[in-house]
Amino acid sequence: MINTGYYGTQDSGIDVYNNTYYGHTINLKKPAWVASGSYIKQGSYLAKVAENPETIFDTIDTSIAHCGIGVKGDFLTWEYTDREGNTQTEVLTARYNHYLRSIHWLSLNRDISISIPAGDTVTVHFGIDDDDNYNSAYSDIDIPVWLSSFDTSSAYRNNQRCFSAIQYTDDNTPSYYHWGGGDTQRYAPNQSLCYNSPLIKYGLGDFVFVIYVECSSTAEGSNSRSVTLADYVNTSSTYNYINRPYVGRVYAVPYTWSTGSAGNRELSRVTGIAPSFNRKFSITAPYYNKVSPEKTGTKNFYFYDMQQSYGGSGSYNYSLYNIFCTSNTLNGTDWTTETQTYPSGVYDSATPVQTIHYYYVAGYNFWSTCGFGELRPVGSSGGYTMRTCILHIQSQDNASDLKEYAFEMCAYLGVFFSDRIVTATVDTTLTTEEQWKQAFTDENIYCGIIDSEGLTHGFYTHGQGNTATLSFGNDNAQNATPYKPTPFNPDVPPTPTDETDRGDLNTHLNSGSYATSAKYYATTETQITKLIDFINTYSPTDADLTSDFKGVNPSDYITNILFFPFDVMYSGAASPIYLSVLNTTAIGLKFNPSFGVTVADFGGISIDRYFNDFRDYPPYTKLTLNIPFAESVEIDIGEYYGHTLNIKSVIDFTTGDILSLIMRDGLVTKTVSGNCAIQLPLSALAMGTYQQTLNTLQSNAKINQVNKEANDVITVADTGAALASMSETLGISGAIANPITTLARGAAQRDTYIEQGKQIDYSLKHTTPSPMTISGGTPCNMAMLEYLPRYTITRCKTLNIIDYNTYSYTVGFATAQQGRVSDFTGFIVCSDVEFDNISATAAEQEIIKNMLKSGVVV
Amino acid sequence: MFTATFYLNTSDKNVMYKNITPISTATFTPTNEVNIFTPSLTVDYDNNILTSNYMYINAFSRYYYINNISLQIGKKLLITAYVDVLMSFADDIQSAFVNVCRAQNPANRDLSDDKIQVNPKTYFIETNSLPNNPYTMGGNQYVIGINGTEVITP
Repeated sequence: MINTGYYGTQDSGIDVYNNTYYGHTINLKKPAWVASGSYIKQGSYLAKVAENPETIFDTIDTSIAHCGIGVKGDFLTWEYTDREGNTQTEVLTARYNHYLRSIHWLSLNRDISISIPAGDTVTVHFGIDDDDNYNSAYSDIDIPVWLSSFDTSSAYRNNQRCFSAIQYTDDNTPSYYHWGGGDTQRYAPNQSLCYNSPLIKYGLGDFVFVIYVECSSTAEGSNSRSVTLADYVNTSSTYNYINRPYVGRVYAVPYTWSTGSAGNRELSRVTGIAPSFNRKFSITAPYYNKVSPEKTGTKNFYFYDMQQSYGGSGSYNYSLYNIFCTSNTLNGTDWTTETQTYPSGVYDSATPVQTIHYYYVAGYNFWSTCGFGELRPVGSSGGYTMRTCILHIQSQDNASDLKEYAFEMCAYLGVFFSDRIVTATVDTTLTTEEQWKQAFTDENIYCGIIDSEGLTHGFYTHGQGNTATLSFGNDNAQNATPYKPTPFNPDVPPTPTDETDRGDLNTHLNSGSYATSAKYYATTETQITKLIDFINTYSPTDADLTSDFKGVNPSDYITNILFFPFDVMYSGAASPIYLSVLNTTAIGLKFNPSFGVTVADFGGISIDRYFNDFRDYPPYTKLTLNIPFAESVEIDIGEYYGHTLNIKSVIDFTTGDILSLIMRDGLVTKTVSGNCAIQLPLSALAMGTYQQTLNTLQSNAKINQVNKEANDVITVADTGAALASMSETLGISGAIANPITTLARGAAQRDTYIEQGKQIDYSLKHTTPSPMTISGGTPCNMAMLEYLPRYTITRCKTLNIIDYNTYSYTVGFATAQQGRVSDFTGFIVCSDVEFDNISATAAEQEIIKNMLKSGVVV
Repeated sequence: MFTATFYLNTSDKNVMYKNITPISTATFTPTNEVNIFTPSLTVDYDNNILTSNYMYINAFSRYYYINNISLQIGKKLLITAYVDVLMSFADDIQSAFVNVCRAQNPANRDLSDDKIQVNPKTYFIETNSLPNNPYTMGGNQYVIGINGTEVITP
């Protein structure tokens, strides 16, 4: 047993505070972990104190179950002592075959939820069965772990159950406590099963943990229950787990409960084990036969279990976690001891041996009571008084092993306990308080020790060397919350990459639509030539001039012409190439603008190591990729060993842009951009402009002619009636004044038109269509050796020829490893040596070290 | 009376666990100082001992390389030896903590090794194009872009 120096008084280092609902809190001033028997949020300190004489208050996570049940991980786990006396811990996932000396605790997942419809009553039995003959009757459970029934009138927080420690009668008949309607059970969200068992003599049989749910009503629709351990549950109205072992997961925070109207509050703390009615809870001696403990034997320790409190009677509720309700006292209302009496006569109250005494004080503020202010008078209907106590263990037989065993059990429960009897008769000259103080000193007040995760292991401690009296105070906080330990993983590795390429070339590289006014055709040289010929020979007819043809130069419609060193990777339908509405009769594959871009896959190569040593890496080995139409790039060959190097190129055939993707196992690691097309410098005739010019000239010529002819008419020397007739023809009314002047003027104008006509005629004869550049040339970037990607690996040469077998045995490969010599095989050379255990002399050790440093074969 | 066991050792000096074949055993009584590191002992003549090169002396719990065997008057053999610390303390050495800088079986061989001389001037070249040629030739190698009033619906 560990005794870690619990100092029990203010003077020595621990202030023990008592809370009627929450057990004790401890402020430590000395190093220790101490189980308080309960937990509380405010003012509760579980301090792991270093060598610091000052009080260090380290507020604990209030969900910790100081009562000793603590929390435990994911699965139903149990701790037991095997036949060799070794403590074992296992996750229960199957049937077991163990011979057990004892079971220390079971931890059961809280995810057992049973929802009960209104009006239904369900009894849930949890137990341990040692054979396969579990026959659906709870009575067949060999060791009931917890039995309870509850109905829907109770308010269940999340419909979760908390399971208490073992209860069974002295004849080992499973018993249960039934809460009827009106009983309200409150409990912390996280519950646990704690099974502090005596020795279980399960020999070589199976060990099965069973969950048996019994419903009072089998009416269809009325029994809806869900058990999250559904895998282990038959979905019939009565659950039978013969063939279904359990697996449970729990958080283990025991709950507290209260009954009656006084319990109608949110109690999130843990204190109690479910009460039982008029039965005792036995912890028997090792190798005890599970059938029946001896009542009057000399080697048994008994824990009295709890008795239900019900209004107006002299019964008691006890919690092994230091909280109990009592509506009765003995020996007055002051400091006293309590000897359990049983109407059933199970125990002889006149025989105080082998009894457990719960020391409590009624009404004395040393202990204080009912911090929440709901102190009920003794004996009132439905009322109860909360007390605190120290569990006292007494045995007629003070054999050290049995006593220690009982101590260990108490420590598991996390209670305060003592083996000191205090009765009112100790010293009648003293007040009860003084007797109490005298009796309970540091040295005989024990408490269980919990570890940093809130688990007990049966260790306990007590005060040392200090007879100063205990100092108790009260803490009335009622806001504890369940404990959820946070695992600490200091070496959590970074999240590795998932090596997933979430890109999708087809999705992300879609060129989209260019519905504005562009068309692209893939075509041959022949068709290009044909197209240009069309442009150069185009002569619009009069009908064309009056049609919707608005363009003057067909060549104006060509944006660019690209030449690719390989076929355009598109297989569309051939269609005539139109320039506006003009069918050039040249044929090309018309691009669908939504076809996106083309991906050319050049495949992959696996990159393998050659030397299998440092020479496989730069600068001794290098990998260079020659990417056509772009550049040469060097990539780290070390990244590719054991992987596949792929290259794909994404080509935009409307611009010639080519993006090469260098990949490792399909994931892009590098990109290189370039352009693989040549803009062709082509020119054609601006036939449209030419035609327009011609049209203008022709029109001007006709206008000129009309004007000349009009002036020719005016040159006729008509006078008189002829002139008048001419005037009529010309539409001239009235007399012509100065006909000779007019005549002269008309003749001069006619001559002008004649000259203009000559000019127009000259222009018509000398107008030619102008050439225009359709597509500008660009420098040729095609000066590549090839258009397929090429890799080049350069590897160093080694000057000394190496026979690796001989080399490894005589020289050894360079390494930097640490360990023991036994970790290595073959030839080794050490740079540093430290012996762990050697019997050689100093001189021999020196020789050995030198030999290890020069090389030995181990 | 002390005992010496003679062996034929065929292992190199730097081998920890020697390959030894027992040959003979002899007892001796020290007449002079017998040094634990370089013992010198006299035993009765035994032809077999002449073929041995290794011995174990019980009293010292050590193995020894035999330096010399000389014939002595009185049909004796004088044997001089020196201690083989490796074999003698092999098990103890196994538990020693070491930092190994060279090994026959390293965890990996990627650590630079200056005993492998790399020629800085010449290289092997491995070169090739990637295996897949997605291109074809001789078909439509021209692309012409045309503006037009024709509406293109993607």
